[in-house]
Order: sequence, then structure tokens, then C-alpha cells
Amino acid sequence: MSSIKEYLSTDHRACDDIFAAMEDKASSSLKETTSLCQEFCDAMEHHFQMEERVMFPEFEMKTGMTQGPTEMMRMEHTQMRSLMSQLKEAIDTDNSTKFFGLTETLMIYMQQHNMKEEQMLYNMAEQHLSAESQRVIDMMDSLIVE
Amino acid sequence: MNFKGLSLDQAPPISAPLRFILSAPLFIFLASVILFFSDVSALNRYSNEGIALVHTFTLGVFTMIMLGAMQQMLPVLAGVSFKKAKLVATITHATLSIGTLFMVYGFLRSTTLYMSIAAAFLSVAFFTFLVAAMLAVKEIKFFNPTVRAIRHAIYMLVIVVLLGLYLLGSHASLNIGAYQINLSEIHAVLGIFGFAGILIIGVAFQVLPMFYVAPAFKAFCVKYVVKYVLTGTLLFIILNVSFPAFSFLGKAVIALFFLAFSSVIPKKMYLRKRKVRDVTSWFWWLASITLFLGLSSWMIDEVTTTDLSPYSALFIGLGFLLSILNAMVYKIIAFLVWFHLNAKGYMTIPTMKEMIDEKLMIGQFLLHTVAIISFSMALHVEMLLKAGALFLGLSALLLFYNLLSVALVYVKTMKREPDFVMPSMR
Repeated sequence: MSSIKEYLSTDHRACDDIFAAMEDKASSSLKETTSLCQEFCDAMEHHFQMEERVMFPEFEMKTGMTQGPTEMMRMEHTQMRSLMSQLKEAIDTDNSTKFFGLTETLMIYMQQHNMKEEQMLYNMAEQHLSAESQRVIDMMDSLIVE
Repeated sequence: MNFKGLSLDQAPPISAPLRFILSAPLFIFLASVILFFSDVSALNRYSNEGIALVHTFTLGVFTMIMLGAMQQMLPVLAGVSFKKAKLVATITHATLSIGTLFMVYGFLRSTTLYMSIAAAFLSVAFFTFLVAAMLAVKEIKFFNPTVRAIRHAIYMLVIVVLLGLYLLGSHASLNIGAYQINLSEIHAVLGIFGFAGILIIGVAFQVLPMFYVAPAFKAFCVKYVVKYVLTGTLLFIILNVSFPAFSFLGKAVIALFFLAFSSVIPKKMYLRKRKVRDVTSWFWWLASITLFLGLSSWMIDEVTTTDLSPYSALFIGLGFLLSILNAMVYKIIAFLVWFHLNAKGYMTIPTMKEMIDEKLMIGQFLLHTVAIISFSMALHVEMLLKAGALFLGLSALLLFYNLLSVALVYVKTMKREPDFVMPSMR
């Protein structure tokens, strides 16, 4: 049985892998990166929704904290969604300088976000949701992206 | 429960880390000037000139960057921030800079008054930083290997500073004791490996897998690193004081671990999934090679009559430490500017690659590398000391220009109205 922390941290690494593959493809042909970019954005959106629609509400309900760390993480998700839509624009306009500038920014933004989640939020979630851990993971596992 | 680190507005103001980062290249430049006007034969670790030069790097560059970065890293990595972050940064930065300048000038001119003034300023700098850091560390709720390494480095720094102040005091009062050499060796080994080395390795555990999408470090290595290096440094201290003839055993334990680390970096970098060209990854390669050369000279020095300490100082200091810190400041400064502008509601900001011209970064990397190569041959071809100093000086100026141009993006952008005002910013 994996923990909430393990489950979501593993998903972070999976997103990183697609990100790296996308960048690698873009360095040979930006035009052909469209599908990998879409795959990356979908994986990220799936991760965001697992948190926003399952884990965060469970955490908030248990702790009563709605304006705390989860609110900050939601704001950072919004920032990353904006960067991802700019990535798609850069591919559409075939602007590789913009594309690699954005991937660099997104990469660091993503990693500082992941560090905060893996170092703090997921630990807090484990403390408060230990009894419901498997149920929360199952719900995240069966989530269909809206 | 503490959530400060998760909140943007609890992060230290950008001016706090920026002043540390921007000052470092100026001290590298100062070091290059000292080197340019130095004589190879006068540069040994116990000469006043040697002490001045070494501390231009250790205090003005390494400590400067690490203290600035730690204030930025603790909120993200450990969820704790410094209380009165701006005040701590202002006092620490000002007194560290002034103290270092007095110390360097004091040793270059052999003026005890300046050494005493340096000791006073440096005491304030480290006391302020360490008290603030230890108060922050006390609040940490969740530990991981990186956070543990940072905490260990902070405690090590306490010992390094106390020994340093004692040694500086004895120079200032012209009262060099019988244990001066032993204590200065302990001071150096703890400073380089116990403080700087452990901090860099701890951060590497996070940075390499995350920012370069490199394979994670082995669990046992990550888990035991602090204990291992602590054992090595303690063994070294005990042997150095009680059985100096066997102190090399302590060195060997420390060197073995760092050698393993130097061999692991190329593997991680080679296997990293993020293959796009990234100049900062070149600095990591260079750091790995020079760390290997530095540790090898450090150990061979024990079994030969030839003094190889200039090589170990060059490769470990200028090669390993400076290269990694150089790579880190490029990443840190561009992100800080982007992050703070974004948090203030500016949406149309140059991307991180647009902030620094990649060609200039490559130029700086090459100058830095050529400087190290020149210095490594300066003991045989004396004129290469001046050439190396010239390359190092140019590298420092270019680094300063590259970092400053990023900081100026912040200043320029702040002059216009933000694109979006967040409710919390009103």
C-alpha cells in the first residue's frame, strides 16, 4: 500500500519525465512537439485535479483550513496553467527561443512547487488523513479529468 | 503548525538574497587583483598574503553566496523563514562585506588594527546570521536529508566561526600559539567539508534529480551522508589534536566520501533525462573533475614530501566550490526575479532564458575554466599566474554583468504598472 505522499510524489516524477521528453523533442523540431506538449499538459492537469478535487478538499475538511497551504498551492497551479498555455502558443508560432525560455521558467516554478508539496503539504496530509489514506488514493486513481 | 514557507508574501524580500549574490563576483574580482600582483612563492596557506587570498574567496564569495541562498532555501525546503529577514540580511551582508575587506587588507598589509576591526565586524555578521538561522531551524517540523544537511552545516559553521575568530584574534594580537597550525587545519577542513561540502551535497540531492531530471541518489547514501561526514570530521579533529601523525586517517574518511560524490555527479549528469543544452550543467561537470583532482592532491600530499596544498586549494576551492556556486547563482537569480515579479502581478516578464544571454554565460564558463587551467600550471610557468588572474578577473566581471542584467529586469519592470493586482497585494 502506497501512501498519499508516495503516490503524488511519484506522479510528480512522471510529469518531469514527460517534460524532459518534450524538451528533447523540441530541440530537434518544435513543430513536432505538439503531441508531447499536449501529453505533458494533460498529465499536469490530471495531477492538479487529483489535488484540487480530491486531496485538498479532504485535507481542508479534516483540518478546517481553507485559506492555508492548499489555497497557496491552487494559486501556483493557476500560474503553471498560464505558463503551459503560453508553451502551446510558442509551438503554434514556431518561436523556439520563447519555448525554451518558458520551459526553463516552468521547470523551476514546478520544482519549487513540488518541493513545498513533498516537504510540507504531503507530510501534513499524511498526518491528518492517515486513516483515509487508501480511500483518498483510490479516489485520485479513478479521477476523470474535467 | 507552521505554513509560512508556503506563502509567497512570507518569502524574504528579493533585495535580501540579491545583495549577497551580486556582491560575490566583486569579491572574485578582488581576488583576481590580489593574484595578479602576487608572487607565486609568497602564496602558501600560512603566509599573510595566502590567508588574505583564501579568505577573499571563503568569506567574500562562498560564505556570501551560501548565507544568501540559505535564507531563500529554508522557506521552500523546510517551511520556515527567518524572522526579520530584511534586517538580518542587511546587517549580515554589510558586516560580512566590511569585515572581509578589513581582514583582507589587514593581512595584505600585516596591520593588526585592521585584523581586530575585521574580527569585530565578522563576529556581528555571523552572530546575526547564526542566531536567526538557528531560531528558524528550531521551527522545522518535517526533516528530509537536504534539510538535515542544512541544519548540520549551520551547526558546523558555528565551530568554524569560533575557531576562525580565535585564529584571527591571535594574529591581531601577535600571539600565535603552539596549536595555531592544528587549529587552522581543523578550521579549514571543517569549513570546506563540514560546512560548504555538506551543504552543497545536501542541496545536490534535491537539485540534480529535480532541476536536471537526473536519477535520484541511492537511499543509503542520502540517509547516512550527514552521519558519515560528521564521523570523518570528528575523527579528523580528535586525531589532529591527540595523534597528529594519524590525522590523515580522518582526512581519508572524508576524502573517500567526497571522491564517491565526485564520481557520482558525471553519472547523474550523463543519465539525466533533461538533455537540452544547459550551461549550468557544464559547471557541474567541471566541479566533478576538479573535486577529484583536488581530493587526489590532498591525499597524495600526505605521502609525498612535495607540498601539493596549492593544488588541493585551487581544485577544491576555485574548481569544485566556485563552479557549483556559479551554476546555482545563475539558476537562483533568474528565478527569483521572475518569481517576485510574477507574485507582484506582472504577467509579461521576459522568460528566464531571455534574461541572461546564453553566449555570455558560455563565455564566462570558458574564462572560468581557462583561469583554473592557467593557475594549475602557474607553479611551473610563473607568468601563468598573471594570465590566470586576468582570466579570473574577466570571468568575475562577466558574471557580475550577467547577474546584474537579470536584476535590472526586475528594476525596469517594477517601474511600470502591474498587469494584474492580486487581492492580497492591495
